[in-house]
Order: sequence, then structure tokens, then C-alpha cells
Amino acid sequence: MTFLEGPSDGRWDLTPVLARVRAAFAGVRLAERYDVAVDHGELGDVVVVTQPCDVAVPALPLPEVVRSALDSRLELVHGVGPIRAAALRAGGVRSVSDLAGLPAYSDRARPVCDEWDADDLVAVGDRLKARLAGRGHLLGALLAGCVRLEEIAFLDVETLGLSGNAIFLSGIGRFRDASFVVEQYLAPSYADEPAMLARLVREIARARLVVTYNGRTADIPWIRSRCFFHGLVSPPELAHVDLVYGTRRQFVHDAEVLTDARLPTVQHELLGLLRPGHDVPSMAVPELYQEYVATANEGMLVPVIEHNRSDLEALVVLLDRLCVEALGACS
Amino acid sequence: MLVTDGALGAITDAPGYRGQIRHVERQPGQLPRFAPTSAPLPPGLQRYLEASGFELYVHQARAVDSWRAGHDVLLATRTASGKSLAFNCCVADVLAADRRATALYLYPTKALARDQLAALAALDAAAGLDASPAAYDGDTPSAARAKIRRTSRIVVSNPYGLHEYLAQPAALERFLAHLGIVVLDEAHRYRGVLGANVALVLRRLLRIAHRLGARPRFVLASGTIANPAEHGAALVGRPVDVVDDDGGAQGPRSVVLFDSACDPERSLGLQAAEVTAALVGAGQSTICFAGSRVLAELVATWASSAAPGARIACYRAGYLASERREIESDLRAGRLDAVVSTNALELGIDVGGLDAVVMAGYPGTVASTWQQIGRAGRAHRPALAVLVTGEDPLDSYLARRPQILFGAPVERAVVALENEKVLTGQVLCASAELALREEDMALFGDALPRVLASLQSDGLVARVPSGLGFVGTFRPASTVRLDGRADGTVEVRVGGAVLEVLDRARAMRQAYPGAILLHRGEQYRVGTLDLEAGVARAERCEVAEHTRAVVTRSYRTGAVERRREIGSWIAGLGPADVRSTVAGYKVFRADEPVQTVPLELPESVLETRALWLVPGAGMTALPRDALGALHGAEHALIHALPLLAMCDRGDAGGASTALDPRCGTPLVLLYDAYDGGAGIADAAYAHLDALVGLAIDMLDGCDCETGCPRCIFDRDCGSGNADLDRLGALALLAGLRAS
Repeated sequence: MTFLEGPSDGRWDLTPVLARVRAAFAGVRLAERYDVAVDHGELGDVVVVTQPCDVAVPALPLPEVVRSALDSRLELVHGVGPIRAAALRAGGVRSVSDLAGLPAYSDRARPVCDEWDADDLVAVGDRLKARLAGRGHLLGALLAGCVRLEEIAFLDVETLGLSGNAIFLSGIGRFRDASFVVEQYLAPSYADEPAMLARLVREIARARLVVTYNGRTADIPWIRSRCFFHGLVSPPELAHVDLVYGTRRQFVHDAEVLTDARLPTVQHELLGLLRPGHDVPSMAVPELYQEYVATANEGMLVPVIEHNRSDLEALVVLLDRLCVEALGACS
Repeated sequence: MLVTDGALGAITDAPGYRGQIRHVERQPGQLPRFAPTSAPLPPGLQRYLEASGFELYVHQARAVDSWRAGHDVLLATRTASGKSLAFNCCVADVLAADRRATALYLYPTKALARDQLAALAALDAAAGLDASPAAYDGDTPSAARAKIRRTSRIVVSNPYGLHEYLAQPAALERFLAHLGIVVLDEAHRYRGVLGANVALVLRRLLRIAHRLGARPRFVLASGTIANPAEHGAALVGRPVDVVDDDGGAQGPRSVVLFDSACDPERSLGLQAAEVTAALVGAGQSTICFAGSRVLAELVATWASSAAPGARIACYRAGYLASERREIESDLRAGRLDAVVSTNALELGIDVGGLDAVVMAGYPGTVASTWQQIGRAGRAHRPALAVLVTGEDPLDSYLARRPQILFGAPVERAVVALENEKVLTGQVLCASAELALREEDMALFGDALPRVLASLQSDGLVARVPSGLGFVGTFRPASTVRLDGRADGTVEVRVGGAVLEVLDRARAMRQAYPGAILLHRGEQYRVGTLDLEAGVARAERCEVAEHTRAVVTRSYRTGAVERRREIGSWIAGLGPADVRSTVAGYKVFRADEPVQTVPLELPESVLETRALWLVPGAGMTALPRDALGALHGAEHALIHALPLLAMCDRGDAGGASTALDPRCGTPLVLLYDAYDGGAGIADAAYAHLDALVGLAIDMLDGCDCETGCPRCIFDRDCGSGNADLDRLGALALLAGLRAS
């Protein structure tokens, strides 16, 4: 959810916003604007909206380049902090592979290399976050270079609130033959959330790497929570990169290019992307869905669908940019 | 015994002594009684006991036996009787039998919970449980949390934290799916609204554990109350097996009743301070408990003047955490001779052995009194406890009837299970954790269908395939406060620094503009109070006066749920609204009121439960001074309540009138000072005859005419104790006795 933010005291009167949306999309049916299919399943109904998008294929680093970049981070080895790493480098030890050859470090450096050899992206990602904190999240973006483009799922969900509330729409963007296609799964009622989640989990399970932009309202744990709530099987553990941390570290703290890491700011200031036509504040999103459920007015969902798609597009561009920054940070 | 007699002598030899000692109860101490468990303990646990030199007391062995027999167990033995070891044995039994089993310990505070970790680590190591015991609470660093959730088999926490963590049950899946045992210490503290919330948090826990395939059982510990079995069952929703034959060692002890009213010239606090100073002078390391922050400050100041050179510090919960840690560590290391504290230290935070305890005023319940008395003599040295009673009715009654303290318990712990606001809040939380199903109904009681219907019509809960689920846009757990206090806190600031933090209701009563506030013995005058922003600003001052708020109240009774005849009266029970306003404050110089200042503060509305009394049809006339009698009876019943329902001052309130607009008759009202009710009015209704008997006994023993502070005056009386008639009240209460 990355809409315009309201006043900081939270007292945003949403009535005019809802009125504006009602007026702009009165009587609109989703099937008129989008490619819509309804999947009737055992658990309930899922409305599937498919949208092709005009996004350039990101220039991701080759696996060897990623390996070499990560190899240069001595701090990935347990017991090697910045000071020891500097000392080691001064002594000519330049990579984790070098360390693996030294008796004093091989026990601890070997597992790191083993993870790369086994292509265990989950373990590599966890180690990056655990050992390198903020910088580690930035480097996590490089994992995108270790899989095929089609194996990446860009993910963004829309929820009823900020804390474990129901998910009503989830969007996955994937490349198929150099075209970026966004598929969005909508629960047409509260009771259809499990059906939507089941579909989402199935789609996520096809990927090897999930890319999101969330921070605290992290998508994967949220999906697990909702699956638990409904008694569904959780998505399997898989490699996951949340681009917000790397963005914040690189562009807000270090380079001070951005004032904050909110996605609208990033989209506009950093990536030069245009925002979709009908902006609504994030606080209005749950109300738009509630009105849709109560009145069957599909038009209320148009701004949500547009934004979800535009955020997924932004993720692709941002991933491209962060990989450049990450490689720069390793040289 | 030599030590305590010397200390007693120090009290009677002190210049201020006027024969205040009314009673000395000498308890000769008790030799320990040991027993083995019926079946051998797991080898690892045996090793641990042997290595630590522990032999099980009879109650510890019995608790383990009862646990192994498949019961939920409640230990009702006194403070320092080795309840922790009993818990730990049950936990070790579970964890040794199943390598994946987990255990949860719940304590009322983070500090108490964390105090257990050292012993648990030792047990874990010696018994080879591979449990990685850890605290999981607000102080646990976020980096450590994931690992604890993934790997720890023993977790210590508190109900407030558990309430929050249950909101994300997926994260706790591993821990809850193998949960075998839940330990709940200090169970008697979970009373009223807090008790109801904690009981429901435990139901939420059970529901999730059951859904994951676990069948945990409970081991509880409680202080001495009259109804341990009933209370335990109220909290965990199942019958509990009570173990109360205390086999622990107890050193000889003298408990002294010191009636400060024998010297009416000097206040209770001053006399308690002098007793403390006398004990310090006799070389006794002493703790003095005071019932309020203000009193604690004053007593510390006075004790320091009475014992120059002695190192005496004041400890209360309103201080910043850093200040409190410093005092705790000084006391532990013996760098302090005495500490004056509010109830904050009553719970077993370990401060080392103390020789004497002084209680400046009756702590409010017999259970708390014994808990405070238990602070002295930890190393089984002879100990001395001095209860300094004051002139208010309950204290005076105790000074007259000390057997209340030493006989069989009469006070009952009451859980506000009828409070539908509490139930609604907790059910809403549950609905956000796992959809609510038919079989879950049993856990939440008869009112559940009504609560759910109401939540559905409010659009907060809707039907989903797996049951009824939360569909709101907020986080339910954030809207529920376990202790039922009104929202909002107020920071009292001096200059830029925070002096202390008060809850909103307390801020209106103590930090109104013009109030004189005491902190660490220094006076501050409050300049402004901004309730919206939650800030009060104050400045240092030095004046010879103190202030007290004047509160006005009005009430309205609702539907009559229960009704009965009592004597020639009729008692009713049901919901009621009470409105209060701090209308102004009085300024006192040397205990004399010199000025009354009006204030403009918002009204507080309380929707609660109440008991009311109206004359029956057959009643001909009321005693001569009807208003005085009604008012007096109201006070007497309120004063007797704590003895019955284990409530504190301020947990219940009252009102009386010669003409209630709805009934057209006189009316006496007793209400719970908590939104939705605390179970007190309900308990009063259920035991009304006993309550009336206590109230009569309290008034009867006084020799004053119309009433005095010792029998009928109430410190918080909104009308300043005007219009009270003791004899009239007695006659009225006699009319409540079945003829």
C-alpha cells in the first residue's frame, strides 16, 4: 500500500475521497477495463485481473558477478567484523574463498561457500541480513541475478488495516518472455479470502525469489498469518528480498538523495515515474473495499487496482537500480 | 527471639511511644516437613535437586504428584514456601518426557519473570533439558525474538505481553503446538477487570494451542484467600486441585499491631516513620510499605529526620526505571539501612534479607499484608513485622479484631466474569487470531452468542469458511487494556524533564492546576494540565500546605438483573452509570482546610455494575436522621467490602440519597469503579448477609456518638463526611439482618 499519506495526526476526512472515486468510476465494471476471469473453487471465488505492463527488462547481474561480489564481503563469515575484515584485507586476504583456505577460518568460511554452491538462496539471504544488517539488505537485491528472470515474483498485497488484518487483493508481477505481466487476485467478499490466499500461495510457490517493498507491514509473514487464520497451508519458505531496507540505507542514509523511503517518493524522485491518475490516500483503501463489498460497486476498486499495478512496476525499476548500487558498494 | 525483643524494645523505648501496641502475635516458627513424590522424578531433575541440596517439602511433592495425576494444580501456600521449585519440577517432568514440549511461565511483572531465569538456567543445565530458557517480553531485543520463538522450550513472560503476542499466532506456532504446561504465579492478583482479562487471554491461548494439537495444563500459585479453588477455576476455566498444606520452614516471627490512633496528635505516616527509625537504630534492616506515593515520600522524609545518619531511600513505581534500579541495588548490597516503598516492592523482587517490615497503614487486603510481612526474615532469622494501623474504619477494625489477620481467610478473590465489555474486547481479539468456531464457544461462556451477534451487526466480525472472523480495519489487541484503566497517560514535566507518569484518572485527581505534588521528598506545584496532549507542567516550590481534590458524583441505575429481600429491605443488582467531576480542590495548612478553589475539568462517565438497597414495602419509617443513616450505612458497607471481596480502596464507590428519582424512595448504592464492572458488586450481592454482618461489627465497636474517622468517615467522601449518623446507620443495617 503506497498511496498518498494523510496528515500525521491521522484525522483525514475520507468522505470527499470516496465521493470523488464514486463519481469518477460510477457504474464501472472491472471486466470493461481489464482482462477479468472468475475462478470458482472449493474454498470460494477469486476474481483474477490480468494486466500486461510496459516495463523494461531489468539489467540484472550475472550469477558469477553476484558470486564474486558476495565473495568480497569477508564479514559474512562468523567472527569476522569490520575491524578484522580490514586487517585481513590489508594482509592480502580478499575473499571468503580465500578465508576458506585458511585453517583458522575454514570451519566458518566453508559453510558460506557451501551455501553459494548449493544455490541455497534462503540461507544466503538470511546470512546477508544477519551479518551485514542494512548493507546486507542492499546486497540482497543481487540475489535476483542468481535466478532466471521468470523465476522472480514481484509481490504487493492490499489489506484492511496495518496489523494482520484481512488481505483482500494481492498482486504478482512476473516476466514471461521479456514482457511484464501483473496478475491480481481479488477476494470478492470477506469469505473469499481463503480462496484468494490459496491461489496466491500456489503462484508464489512457482517462484524462486519474491521481491516486495514493505518494511514493517511485511508481506510474507502477513500471508502466513492469514493462512494460519483460515487454517490453510502456509507458503513454503523461499528467498525473499524487501527492497525498502536497501533503498533506505542507500538513498536516505548514505547518499541522502531522498528525504524518505516511501514508495511514492521513490517512484517520483528517484525513478522519475509518473503516479497513476486517481490518487487516494492509503487510509482510504480499506474503505474503498468495504464499500465495494457492501454495494457491489466495482468502480471503487479501480484506484486500488491501478496503484497495485503501478507499485509492482516500480519494484522492477527499483530492483534494477539497487543492483547497480549494490555492485558499486562491493567494488 | 532475642533480636525481635530487642527491636520491640526499641519501639516502646522511643520518645513518641504512647502505648500504641495493641497486640503482639508470636509465631513460633515451623520446622520443615519433607516428603518424596509418589513416583521417582526424572533422573535429570533428581540430579538437579541433589546438586542444589534441595529436598522436597510436602506441598512441593504433593503438587508434583497432583500434576502427574493429570490435574490442573493450584498451590496456596505462603510467600517464600518454595513455589518456584514446585513449578520447576512439574515443568522439568513435562520437558524431560517429550523433547519438543514447551513451557510458559507468566508473572505479573517483567522483573519478577526475569528473576526466574537464573534458576531456570541452572535447572536446564543440570537436568539436561536443552530448553534455552528465555524471557520474551517488552524488554526482549527484537533481534533475539525470532530465535526464542524458534528454539526456546521455556519462556517466561507476563499476561500483558501474552495478550499482544497472541495477536500474531502464526509466529508462535512451534511454541504453542507443543505447549505442555503453563505456570501462573501470584494468581490472586488477577482479580476484578484484570482478572477477567487475564482469564480470557488464557482462553485465547488454549484455543490456539488446542487447534494446533496441544493440550496444556496449568500450575497456579496464589496467596492465602478464602476461595482458591473457585478463583483458580475462574481463571483457567477448569477445576483445579488445591495444595495448601504448607510444609516449608518458617523462622520465628512476631507480628505487632501498632495503633497510631492512640496518639491522635501525630499522623500515621509520622508514627510509622518513627517506628522505622527506631528499628533502624536497633540495627534492623527495615522496609516500610506505604499505601500511596505521597505517603511513601512523606514517611521517607520523616524517617530520615528521626534517624539522622541513617541511609533511608524512597522507592515507588512513578519514578523512572533508572532511579528504581539504583535503589534496588543499594538495598541488595546493604548500602541502605531502610527503604520506604509503595506496593511496588511487595512482589518478590529479590532485595536480600531484611530484618523487619513496617506497614504504614493496612495494605488493603489480608493477602497483601502477609505478602508484605513475608519480606522480612528470608534467611529464617527471627523477624518482626509491625502493622501500623491508622484511624480509618478498616484499620481501626483490624486493630480491634486482629484475628482477621491470623485466623482462617475470609477474603475472596473475585474475577469480573460478568463484565461484557471485557468479554467483547477479548472476543474481538480472538476473532482476529483464528476464526471462531462452534467448539470454541465452550471456552468463552454463555454471553458469547450475544457478544458475537452484536459484533456482527457492528460490521466488525463476519462469516468466513472457517467460522466467524474479524474484518475490521484496526488492531483489536491495541484497543484492550488488561487492567481496564481508562485510556491515556499524563506526563508531569518540570522544565523539560519528565517527573513522573500518571494515568488520566489519577492525573485529574492529583495533577490538577494548583495541585501540590510530592516527588522524592520535594514539593512541586502544578501549573497547567493539558489532558488532550497528556502533559502537566509543574514547578518546584516549598510551602507548608497540601492539596486535595473535591469530587462530585451522580448516578443512575439500570435494569434490575437480580433482586432479593434482605431483612425489611430489598437488594437489587445490575448495571448503573456513575458520573464524576473533579469540581475543585481544598488547600490545607497544618491539616486545616483554608481555601477551596474551583476547577473546570471534564466529567468522567462510568458504565458499571452496582448493588442497591431500597426499603421494602413493609418498612414503616427510617431512623431519625434518615440521610445520616443512609450515608453512614453506605460508608460502612463500602468499608467492609475489602474484607469480603478483596478489593482495594477506590475499587468500589458508593452513593446514598433520601429520595432516588426513579424509585421514589431512599436508596443506598455500591458500585464498581471499573467500566463494565469488576465483580465486586456481584460478590457483595452474593454474600450480602456476611457483608452486613461485617459492617455492623465495624460500627458497633466504636464509642463515638454520630461518627468519627475511626468508624464511619471516608477519606474519599465527596461531601466531606458531612451528614453521618453512626447510630442511625447501625439501626438501618440491623434492619438488613433477616429477622
